[in-house]
Amino acid sequence: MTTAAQASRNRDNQILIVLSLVIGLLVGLTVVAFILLTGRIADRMYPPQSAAWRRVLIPTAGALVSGWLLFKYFPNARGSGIPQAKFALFIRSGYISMRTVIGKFVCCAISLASGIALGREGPSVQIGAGIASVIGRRFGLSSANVKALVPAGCSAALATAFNTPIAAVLFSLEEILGDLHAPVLGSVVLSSATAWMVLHLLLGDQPLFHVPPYQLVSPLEFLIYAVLGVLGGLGSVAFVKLLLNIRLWFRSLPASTVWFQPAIGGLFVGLMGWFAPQILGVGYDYVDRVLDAEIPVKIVAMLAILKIIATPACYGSGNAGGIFGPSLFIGAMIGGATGSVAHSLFPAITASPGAYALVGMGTAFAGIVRTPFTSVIMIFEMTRDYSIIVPLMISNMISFLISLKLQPEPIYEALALQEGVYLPTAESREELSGPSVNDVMNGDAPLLSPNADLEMARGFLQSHQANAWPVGENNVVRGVLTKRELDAAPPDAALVRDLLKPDTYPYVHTDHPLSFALERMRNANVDVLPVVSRANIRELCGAITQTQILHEFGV
Amino acid sequence: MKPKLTGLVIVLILITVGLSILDRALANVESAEVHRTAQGFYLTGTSLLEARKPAEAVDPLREAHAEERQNPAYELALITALTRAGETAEAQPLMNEMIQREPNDGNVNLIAARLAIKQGDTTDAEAYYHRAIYGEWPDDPEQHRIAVRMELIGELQKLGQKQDMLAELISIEGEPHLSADMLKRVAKLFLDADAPSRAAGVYQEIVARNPKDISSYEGLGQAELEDGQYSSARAAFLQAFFHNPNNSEIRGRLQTLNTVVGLDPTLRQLTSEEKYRRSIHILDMAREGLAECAPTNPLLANAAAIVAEKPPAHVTNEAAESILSEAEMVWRARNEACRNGATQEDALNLLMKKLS
Repeated sequence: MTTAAQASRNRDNQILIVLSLVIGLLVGLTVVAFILLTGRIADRMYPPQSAAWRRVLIPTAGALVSGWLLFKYFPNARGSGIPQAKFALFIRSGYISMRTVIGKFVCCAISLASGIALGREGPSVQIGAGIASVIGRRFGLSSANVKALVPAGCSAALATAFNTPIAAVLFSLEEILGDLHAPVLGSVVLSSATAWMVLHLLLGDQPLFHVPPYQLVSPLEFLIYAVLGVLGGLGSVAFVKLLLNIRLWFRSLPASTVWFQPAIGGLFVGLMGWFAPQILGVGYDYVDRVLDAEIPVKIVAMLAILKIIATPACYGSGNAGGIFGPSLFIGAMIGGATGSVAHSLFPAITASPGAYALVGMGTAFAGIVRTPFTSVIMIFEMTRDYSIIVPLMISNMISFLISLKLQPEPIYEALALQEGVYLPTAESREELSGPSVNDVMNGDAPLLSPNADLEMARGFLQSHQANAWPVGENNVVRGVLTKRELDAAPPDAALVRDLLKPDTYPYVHTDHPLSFALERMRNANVDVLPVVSRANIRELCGAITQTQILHEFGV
Repeated sequence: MKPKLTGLVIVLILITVGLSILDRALANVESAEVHRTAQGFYLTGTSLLEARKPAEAVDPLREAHAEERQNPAYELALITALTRAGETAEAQPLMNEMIQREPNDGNVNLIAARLAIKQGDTTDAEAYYHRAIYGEWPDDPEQHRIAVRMELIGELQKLGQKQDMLAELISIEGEPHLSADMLKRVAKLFLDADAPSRAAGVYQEIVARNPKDISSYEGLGQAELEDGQYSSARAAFLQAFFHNPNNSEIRGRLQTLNTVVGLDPTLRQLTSEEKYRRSIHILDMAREGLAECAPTNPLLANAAAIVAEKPPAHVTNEAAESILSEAEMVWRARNEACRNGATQEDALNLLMKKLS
């Protein structure tokens, strides 16, 4: 590396560090405002002893208003915020517009304050990522540096929303980046710490939950924690599957209904709230009470089931809000119910139900969000009690493995897939370092027309010295035609489109490493691959050939 | 710095200041609203507690505590309600946490002591009471310490632990600035702890402060009576009688004590003849008492014979002692035979108590 390049890189690093502090400060202030504002509006919506009709009308109206705003002005502010932050990071070079940040803030404040059964942490993450993105762009940073700032925004937001700065750093690395050794660690830690300090300066040392002192009464309790892990895992799978199916169903409805779909979720949850007001909103007050073992076991169990239904209904219908908070709520209820039953059966060897509720929170988080490491550290940070680590790890890992077995696709990847976005998997993200497809692909590669006859196709392949070629029109990929398919063409096949298998064709994305492209070529037995967008695998970005890759490797 | 960058920095500073002001304002609004709501629940709960409805007080106090967890008054009120409602299992973890947080707080330790009493754990309760006595009290610590010690004494009294009770009473006696009412309570408790001489000392202090306090003269008389100081007791009852001559109870006691003092054979300045005469009188009283309940008792004949005997020309103290021994035998027989008849404070009993 030349001295000039080194100097430029040092300067970039210095700017990133300063901006991480600025981002931590601004995100901390914004998320505190978001939390306080949502809480104050919610208190006005539901004053103490208010009439039951409010619990039906307000969520419906809130969802209708936010749904219309989302449809009309802020389409990118829909949903949780975590997948959106990941889209921005992996697909849009870290781009999140200011409009989306404002939209997320406003729409989520409306929907959460009106009692929609979603959480505030996911939206906070998108707001944080958005602020980081906007600041990075305003300072004229390169897209690589803007991308580097996005995880810093995420961790600052989460540190503020959860009051757990270490877990926030881990979440940004484990879930958002998918790499615990990411080079952006420094800026992520700085922004998280800054945001946490802002939170403490403004709101004092108040924990998110009032956590009772944890106690392991007997080693036999580990067995009960294992049972809790199983129940938490099954509950997580039920939650995720229900959410994905409901979302899929709403997506299948006509596009003209999108603006009022959230109101359907609002009405549904409102009707549930008529009978069980505890499920409305984020519900952290009730989590607190379960931690203090103040709620009878029957109600706790019922709340777990109702929340598993209510949150998917709200999320699936397109409301703005996250699933972090609800997963903690569900976990606390499952843990509280398990603990109550265990304590009534074996009072001498079990701690109070509050201890199980606490571990249950981590269990559901590990099962639903699929970040077991973050989940352990998050609960540890909340309790600041080392003795909770082992039971937490036992139940978290069991829940995680059950969730992995019964629902292989993680929730955020599955939601992205429903949107037609292909986020890099954890495995592929590990390989993203080194030369990528983008470095060598041919961005102007022509597509073979599906209406071309077979003779013309043979000539096309021959002229490009390839055994396969992407087929499509107007930059839209329909499939990949191979020489083998041409040779084995049935007599009635006259055109290329007669031979296409449009649902399954090999492709790579621009950020894939060359080694991965080579591997995919070998598996598909082709020497050319279409390079497609992660946001839409039909959108052609270019084509890459085996020869180009080998040349890059100097072979 | 380029003008564009300067502008950007200024905008960021303005946004930061604006957000800080907004956050501070929202935090203040939240704090005020939460406090108002919590206070409402707290007042409802405490009024129910005062109305002796602890079970109904639990819910509003729970709400108050949930709204403002950092307020120890709400938490203590909730623990009190739970304790009084018998829900000690729920109160215990809250209490543990409070004790951990405020180990030296007098009020916290007092509530912990009450909870321990409710759970039947008297050893812990006593320890908590002592920590409350020596703990921190934000206002008027002296009065709080006295009140807590009095509460502890009350609990020890219920448990019948008279030695411990006495130890606490001696400690409280040494407190400066005790009110007259408090001194009266202390004196009464000394009597209950079988320490009449200490009780008499306290009553003397009270009457020295207020010589017109009739009830304290009565108390002093009672303390001296129980201590066997019949002359002093009579003097005290006489003072009470002067202030309230229509009180038949005082008059009755005074009459009894007149008899006792008039017949007390243990006074040092008595001549042998006088002692002998008093002994004969005492024997006669015992005989009459026994004759009422057991007219055929064989002791009666001998006693009657002694009483009827003419006193010898030269009376000795030994003769008087022998008659008193006989009187004691008859008195015991009377108490055996007349279990329901004789009161503890009749003249004969008082005399015999002193003799035995």
